[in-house]
Amino acid sequence: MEYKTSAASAAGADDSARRRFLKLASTAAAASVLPVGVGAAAPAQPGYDVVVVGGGFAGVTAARELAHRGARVLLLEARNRLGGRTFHANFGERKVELGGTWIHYTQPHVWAEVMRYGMEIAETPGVAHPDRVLWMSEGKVLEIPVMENWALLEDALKRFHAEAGEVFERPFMAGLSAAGRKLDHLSIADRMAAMDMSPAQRDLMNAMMATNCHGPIASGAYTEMLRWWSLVDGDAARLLYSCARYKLKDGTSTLIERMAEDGGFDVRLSTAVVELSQDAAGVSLVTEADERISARFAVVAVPVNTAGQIEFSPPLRPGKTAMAKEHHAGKGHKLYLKVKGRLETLIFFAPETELFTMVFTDQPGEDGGVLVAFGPPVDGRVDLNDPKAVEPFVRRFLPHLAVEQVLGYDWGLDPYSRGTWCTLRPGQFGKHLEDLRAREGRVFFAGADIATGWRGFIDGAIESGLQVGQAVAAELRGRA
Amino acid sequence: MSRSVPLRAVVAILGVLAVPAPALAADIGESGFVQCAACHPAAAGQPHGVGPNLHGRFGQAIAGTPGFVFSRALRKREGVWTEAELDRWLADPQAYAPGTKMAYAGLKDPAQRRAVIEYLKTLR
Repeated sequence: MEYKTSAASAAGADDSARRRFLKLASTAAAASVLPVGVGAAAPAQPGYDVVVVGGGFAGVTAARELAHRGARVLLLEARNRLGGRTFHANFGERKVELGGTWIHYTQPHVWAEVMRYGMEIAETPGVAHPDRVLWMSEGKVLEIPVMENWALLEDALKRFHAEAGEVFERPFMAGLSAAGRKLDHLSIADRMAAMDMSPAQRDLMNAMMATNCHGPIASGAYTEMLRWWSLVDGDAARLLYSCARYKLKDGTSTLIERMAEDGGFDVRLSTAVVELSQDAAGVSLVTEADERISARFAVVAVPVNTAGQIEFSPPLRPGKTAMAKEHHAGKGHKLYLKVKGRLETLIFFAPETELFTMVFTDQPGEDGGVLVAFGPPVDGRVDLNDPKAVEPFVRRFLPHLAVEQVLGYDWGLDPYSRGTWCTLRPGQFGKHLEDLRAREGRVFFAGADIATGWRGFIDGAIESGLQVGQAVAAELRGRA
Repeated sequence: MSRSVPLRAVVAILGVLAVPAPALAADIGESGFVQCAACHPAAAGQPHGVGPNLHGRFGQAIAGTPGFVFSRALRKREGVWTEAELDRWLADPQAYAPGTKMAYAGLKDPAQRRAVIEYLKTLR
């Protein structure tokens, strides 16, 4: 495996050197037939081998892999920053992750980047070692010792995921098995309805699952949760830790900047693509500013919810256009709450009928601290930008706290995301995923939304970027 | 002549009363600006973030900040950032410029909006 990789790099490097030589030669040839002075006034426009659309972790990974193999790569990003659905932003004096945050050593692709670049890791205390766990059930706040609460949740999780072994022989399988197809119509809510649970256990489980799919549990597919369970080998603690324990100490932006610096590809920010067409010779893109850019291949690494904003010619496969209309289930909110009053290291849950389903300590403190809160979409019913609108919920758990400031990022309103992390809706896995992942001629697709393993996670974005980078590199070698 | 004296007096009194009020509002506004600051730099000369740098933009052309690529939606709006325009924009950005790329649902409390606008006026 190692041998193949290095051989491929070497071939890429030779190839690149040859192309550079050819380019120089052709420039010289062209100059020789042009009138004196014209060549200098109109330098040859460098042709790109690959244009990558989208500068999240998937696009940046694909661009880096291709550039490292000697391809000339241009990455176009619509926002004025790299990172996609990760965003390390100012919250007063400190910085917080408004989007994707957590990584774990169960996630091989992102952890390889952590090791490669020597990134430092920090822990989220409320998940790593909570001193208290509380949850709301039937309108009342309950609290039992942490390990008793955990036993209740673990029991529900184990029974809920009982079919994981037959659906996923092992994790990181691209397709859905026959057993999975039989269950793919089920929502998380459908499967939970078939379980025997006390109201307290049911509400705890609802809170956990509504957080996982970032929406009502009727909107997330059961098969998606089985996929998660398969990734953690059926270990409930590892599931929770994989989702919210470890993060990059200096922020996701630091990792993506390291990857981009290391990449050796061109980046253009604030450049939204509106059209993408292809023919036998290559791809042609039109930007929002009506600029035309061409290349031999394209990698489209945008969220599946946003694919409808680019006009593709010829049109995309049905699964891609369907997802651009249907969207995945991830539509909820994530807020940071700066609170006044003693904040312990804790976690609390509430069912999806409440404003938040999972809230935990990001930073404890004697006089105040910061909580991270997740909840299903509120559809304008509550003003999430108003600390006073959010405070009553927090006070039901911790009556002594005042919410002073709130900060979130409305990923649903952002035209370049139209949602948060991807959890497919019932039926979408079996119906659309193959189409979503499929290349279309000279256009390849990447993204956390279409990863096989940690779909919806930073790891999934990198997994997908690596695979597509490799696939396009093979094409370039074949045609050089 | 007889009317101009009391008018001047009224203006003077209002002036005395009005000076501390916006200053106070600007302090509250700085705190409210926390939500804006995730995307918008506000110090002179700082490069644009996800959103444009807001230093010195009060009273300037809508979608006119040099070096920032605005959405087509906001570019369609004419005029300058007055208090009234800012108030409508901040209350509901999606209604003011449907299709804007500012991913913010709006600051619904009029007093909070007023405070943020006062703060924006101090950025010059």
